Amino acid sequence: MKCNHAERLILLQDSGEAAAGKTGALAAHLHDCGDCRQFQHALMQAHGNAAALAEPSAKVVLDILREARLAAPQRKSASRFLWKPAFAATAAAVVVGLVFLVPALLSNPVGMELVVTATQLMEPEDQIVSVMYSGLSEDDLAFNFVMTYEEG
Amino acid sequence: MDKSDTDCINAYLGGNANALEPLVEKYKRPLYSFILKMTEGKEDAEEIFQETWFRALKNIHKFRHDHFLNWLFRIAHNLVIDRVRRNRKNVSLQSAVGSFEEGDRTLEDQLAAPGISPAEEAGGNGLGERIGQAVETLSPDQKEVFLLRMYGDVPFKEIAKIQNCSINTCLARMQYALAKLRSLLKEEYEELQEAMP
Repeated sequence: MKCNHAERLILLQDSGEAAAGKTGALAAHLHDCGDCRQFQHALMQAHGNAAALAEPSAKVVLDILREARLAAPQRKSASRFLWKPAFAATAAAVVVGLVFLVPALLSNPVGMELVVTATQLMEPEDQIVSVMYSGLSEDDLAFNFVMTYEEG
Repeated sequence: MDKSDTDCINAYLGGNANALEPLVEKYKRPLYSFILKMTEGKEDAEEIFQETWFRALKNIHKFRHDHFLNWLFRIAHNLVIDRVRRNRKNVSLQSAVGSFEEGDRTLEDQLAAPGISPAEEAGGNGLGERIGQAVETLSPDQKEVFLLRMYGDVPFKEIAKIQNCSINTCLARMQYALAKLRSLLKEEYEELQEAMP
């Protein structure tokens, strides 16, 4: 193994990217090569000493946190989801209502149409009388008749 | 992606406005340190650090990365490049630089200010500080690879994506960076080697 290749393997091993099969060959090379051992040592020293980390000012960090709060997506509130059960209940009520009402309305559509048509064919005054007196018995009609003429 | 990172991001996207706070705390040091080393001063670094987070917040719903910090590094890298370009325009250096990548020397290489500043020279004598000073002498591309490895533990595969180059190029840059550090810090390394059993 050449030193250039060994140095690259040392770097890849350090970053956890070296292929597992190469470690034996690298170890053998390092055993024999003082220069590559020094390279590895320099890398370790750099790791140990270069990591003196600086810190940004508190104001900058606070500004970032404030911006993060302002830019945060809207929280998914519970009220957004309340309409779903309400809508479902309303839809169910409408369906139930239709189930009962539609058959009743459509039970004898031809008969209803004939009744309406017969009423519409009458003169307007007769239509009123027809509506007023429909459902009254003959006795009621006779009573009304008598009362009307007595008043007159 | 780190499990806790995923949880924080999902909570934030779900409407928890404070859910990103642990991530800001967790990554502020490596990210800021990286930006500080890649820029020319604390003021620039803080501005880019803030802008990095603002961009991340704006695009967090698009986040499909393996690692949140690597994503932040990528945003920061682009902002640093933008800053260098803008500064270059400000000082009218366009004529000096033909294209972004010109042979082996990139725009950042050409804008690098090699050497250790007097303020840095006045710093302490610890090996960490000497390494920090030596890092300043690297070209920006080498420095970036070195810092991403040291501060962010970013894999070379990811650095290659950030720098838009091959993994071999990244490895070569890191090799060069370490070789340069070894030559600059030869005395310190020899002392350390002698001290080792």
